[in-house]
Amino acid sequence: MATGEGADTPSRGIPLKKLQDCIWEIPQSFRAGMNVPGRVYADNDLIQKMAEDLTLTQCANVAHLPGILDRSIVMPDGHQGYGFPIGGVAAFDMENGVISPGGVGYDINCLPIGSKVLTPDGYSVPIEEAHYHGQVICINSKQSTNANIVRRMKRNGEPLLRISTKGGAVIRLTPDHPILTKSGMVESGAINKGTLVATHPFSGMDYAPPPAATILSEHDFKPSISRELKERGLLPLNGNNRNLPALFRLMGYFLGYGAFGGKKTCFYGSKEGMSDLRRDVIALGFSPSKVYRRERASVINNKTFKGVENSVHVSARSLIALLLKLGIPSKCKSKTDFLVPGCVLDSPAWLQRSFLAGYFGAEMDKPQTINGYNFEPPVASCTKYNNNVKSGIAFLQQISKMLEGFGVSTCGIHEEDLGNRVRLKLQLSEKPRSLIHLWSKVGYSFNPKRQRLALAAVSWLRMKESVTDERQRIAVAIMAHKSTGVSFSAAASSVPSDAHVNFRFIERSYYTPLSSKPRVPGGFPRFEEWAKASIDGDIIWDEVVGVAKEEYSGDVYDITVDNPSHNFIAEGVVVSNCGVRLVLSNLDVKDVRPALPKLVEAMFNAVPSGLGSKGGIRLTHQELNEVIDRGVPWAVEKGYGYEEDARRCEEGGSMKTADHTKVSDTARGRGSGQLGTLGSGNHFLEVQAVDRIFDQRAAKAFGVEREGQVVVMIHSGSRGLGHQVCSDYLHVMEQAVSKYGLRIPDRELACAPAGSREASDYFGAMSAACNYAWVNRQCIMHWTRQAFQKTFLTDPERLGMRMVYDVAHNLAKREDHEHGGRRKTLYVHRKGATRAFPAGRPEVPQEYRDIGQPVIIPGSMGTASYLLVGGPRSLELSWGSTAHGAGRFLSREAAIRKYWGSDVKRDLEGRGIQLRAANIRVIAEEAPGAYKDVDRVAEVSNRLGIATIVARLVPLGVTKG
Amino acid sequence: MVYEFLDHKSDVYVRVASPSLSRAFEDAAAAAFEVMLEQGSVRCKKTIDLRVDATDIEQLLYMWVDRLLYHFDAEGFALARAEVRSLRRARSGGFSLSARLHGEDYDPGVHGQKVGVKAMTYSLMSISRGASGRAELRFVLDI
Repeated sequence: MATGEGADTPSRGIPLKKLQDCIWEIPQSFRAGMNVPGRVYADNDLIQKMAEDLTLTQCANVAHLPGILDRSIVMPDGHQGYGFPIGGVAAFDMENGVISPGGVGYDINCLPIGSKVLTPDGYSVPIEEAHYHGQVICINSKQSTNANIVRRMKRNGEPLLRISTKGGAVIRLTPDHPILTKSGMVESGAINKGTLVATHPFSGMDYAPPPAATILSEHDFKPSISRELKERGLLPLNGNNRNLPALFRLMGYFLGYGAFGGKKTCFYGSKEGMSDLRRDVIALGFSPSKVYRRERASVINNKTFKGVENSVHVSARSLIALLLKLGIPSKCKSKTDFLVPGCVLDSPAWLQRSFLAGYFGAEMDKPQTINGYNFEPPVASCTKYNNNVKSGIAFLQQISKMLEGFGVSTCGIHEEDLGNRVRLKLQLSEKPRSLIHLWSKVGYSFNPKRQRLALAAVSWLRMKESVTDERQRIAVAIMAHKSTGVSFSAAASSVPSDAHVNFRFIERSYYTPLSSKPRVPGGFPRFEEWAKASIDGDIIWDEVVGVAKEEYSGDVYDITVDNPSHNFIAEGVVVSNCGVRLVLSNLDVKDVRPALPKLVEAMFNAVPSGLGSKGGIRLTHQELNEVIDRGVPWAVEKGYGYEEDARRCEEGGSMKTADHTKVSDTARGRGSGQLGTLGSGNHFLEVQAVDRIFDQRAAKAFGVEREGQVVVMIHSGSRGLGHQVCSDYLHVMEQAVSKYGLRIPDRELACAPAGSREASDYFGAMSAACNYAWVNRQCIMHWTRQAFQKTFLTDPERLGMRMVYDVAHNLAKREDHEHGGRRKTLYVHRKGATRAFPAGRPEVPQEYRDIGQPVIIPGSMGTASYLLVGGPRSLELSWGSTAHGAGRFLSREAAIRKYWGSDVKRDLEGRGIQLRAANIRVIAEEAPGAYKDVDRVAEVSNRLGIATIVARLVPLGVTKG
Repeated sequence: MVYEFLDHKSDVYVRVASPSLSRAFEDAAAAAFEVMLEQGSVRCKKTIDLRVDATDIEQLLYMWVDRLLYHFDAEGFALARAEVRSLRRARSGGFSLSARLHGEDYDPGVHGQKVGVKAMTYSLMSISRGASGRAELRFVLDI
């Protein structure tokens, strides 16, 4: 195997590229379907060993998981596991989704035929045709972004749910389709009346194919300009050119807040709006300037206003030439006659909308009410010198005419005399229907603040309309009752109790009927206040008012987008929630050596180990629930240890996400008798001595004072309970895989979308198993302290038996990490990998926060172990992780063939290591030679700087299952 | 030998070759317990009847061994012999297995303490059937 710098190293057909010392890559191109490359941290020797089993294949398999971020990582101790390699680390994004008009979901899963999906160009298409349009709008962290459609699937004949909101959104979807709610993604089947769901009440116009007629051809320009435009796909410019929507938006906005200056095209507006505008300029193939900001004083009505002006300019002669040819005036707009460009007028409504939204982004005022309940008529204005007023009026009439096509009415053009100039104001109707059409189909481009208010106004107006409609229906019904001779009290009692009417209203409707439509009742929220509370990024929080089942026999469609985060949580990761803890003592090797046989025997007797061992703690059903819901604080409360022990566990020894109701009775059955047992296999309880200190400062902070100091290491997990949780959910996840139409390369990588019920149930159960594991190690530590007390006849506190840290190395966590320049909450999976956070992270206990998190890498029986400290590079290289142990090198069968248990024991005893095991066979299986060299593993971690070595620890006495 | 242990880096890789699929499932159970207990040490003193339903044959094997591990771990039931009474394709398309387990309460002093099997896995699992009805199973036990 070639292992030179930069060499491509084939190993079992898997290409490996050496990027740097100890950093290897499996290119994403290795297999179709890999979403990210593989990344392996190992020296030349360790990587060679990994290439001998399935480690690298499994690393590549994990790279297939939907939503995996950046890379599929293998730690230096990596070896073959189930689904994930042992030593595997991967992170997944948590929140993302696609917008369908009205509802924000996780992907567009399973919406019936005809459901509208919004595209980035502001028009809607039926879901079954969405893939012809390439892109859809997604919501990512509450911001709308564009995403490519990469896959489309169809299912048939499933019952649907019809969810309606106060703000008038109605969505029909399958009950497994998750929707974004205030408390995260929730399956629609679990949505109730009153749930706040995210909506984006912009629908745009329906798509219609534009005419293919040529608007401009290369003969319209000088050859040099023509070439530049051709390169950008802007020539020939036909009616169906894919750049037209962006071009129309820019043209509309330019007629409001744009100007030419020399070779530059300049745009002015809000900072956020100018960033949006830059994206359109880039999409057209031009390079915009950054957003410039300057303070500027302006005079309006003789008053001076100080304001901030943000601008973007584009230096491109070809853009200016293009805009001029399309009918944009070259000089001062108020001194020039111009009309709406003909190509806009000839386009279908959805394309006209691009132009109108651009123009309104600059020239139309924001949605605002007079009194909280009635909107001011929106006004679009322009200013003209007296000689040019006529063309200004004609221009606004064209706008007015176009708006008719959107169901928006206007109320004429008003002229305001400004001396030598006239301000022309096109006033739009304030009727609710017209406003809803205006703001749900046209809106404002490059003016996100107004656009968000427009979305809120649509929801608010619909809510208002439904309440006033209801009041009218009730008034009419009461009048009808009266006319047929029904008594007042009978009429009043026919009104539903949750209707938006009070007694006075019923009385008035009965005795003095109103002639006009009823108004909103008292207590109805004022628009401005409601908008403030309901706008969140680009979404509007809206309350569910109805959920109804609906029979449906047609097709449902599911499209998958390439947005980098489809939020998957993979199940195969978490097997036993094992972990390690390290406990100090103030004893010295020379104190302990003479008493070693007695101490090891006392520990072996105190901590049940081996096959079928039962714990010293009998738990009732209720107590077991408390253990798995609460973790270490439960144990401390029951007297197993000190309060500070909990603080020195990862997560405080308690995952708050634990939920015992998500753990099956079967799993509970396996867990109830095993609390406080070591288990068998590679788990151990070991008395060790500090062999060498490498980092004095960190060692001191961790309480490691000197070489020769005696410490205890405990390596165990969540026992049968954790395994059963894993088996149970493997089948749940298998169903999820087919339900959500996921493609995975290995059955053990079964997973479910983050936010789905399956994923959240699993997370609750896995957290419960983690808590069980922490309590298990806590009990083992407690009895170890007692064994020391019994042997040295001194209480554990006086023996300085303080716990350094307890770190898990088999779990999935929600953690905050930097990704793509932003801080994000991710799911980080560590399968046989240890969290290794550097100094400063808030998760690190206060007393170590200046130093970094203690990291414990246990060796195998009879070999050294390491205490390390999380390094700053762990965040950039491995989502804050490092290795977790030595990693097997020989199979158990091979080890048994190679070693005799009794020889191994004799050999260890010859080196002064006392050994006590339930079964002699285990000793052969776990022979030191069967494992990779832990020194190498720790050294790679140290060299990479993901966790640096603090001290090397060597065994004195070992007890094994 | 109806089953054998193949080489595997960290766990137990089992191969079972039996005259029928039902027998193969019985032998798979025996293999799982041989990992944990001394062979031939368990007597038939009590029985457990169980039924396993699964969506496909691989899942049936997984759940079958998983259930045996549950009875050992949670109830201390040491298996002497498994008797598969029926193994058939269900009308719904899945698979269904009924069995009677023979064994006794686990006693480390009598049955020995070899290595605990933590979990069944799908790793390297394969199930193949020959023309004469012979069945071969391969699977990995996580220990």
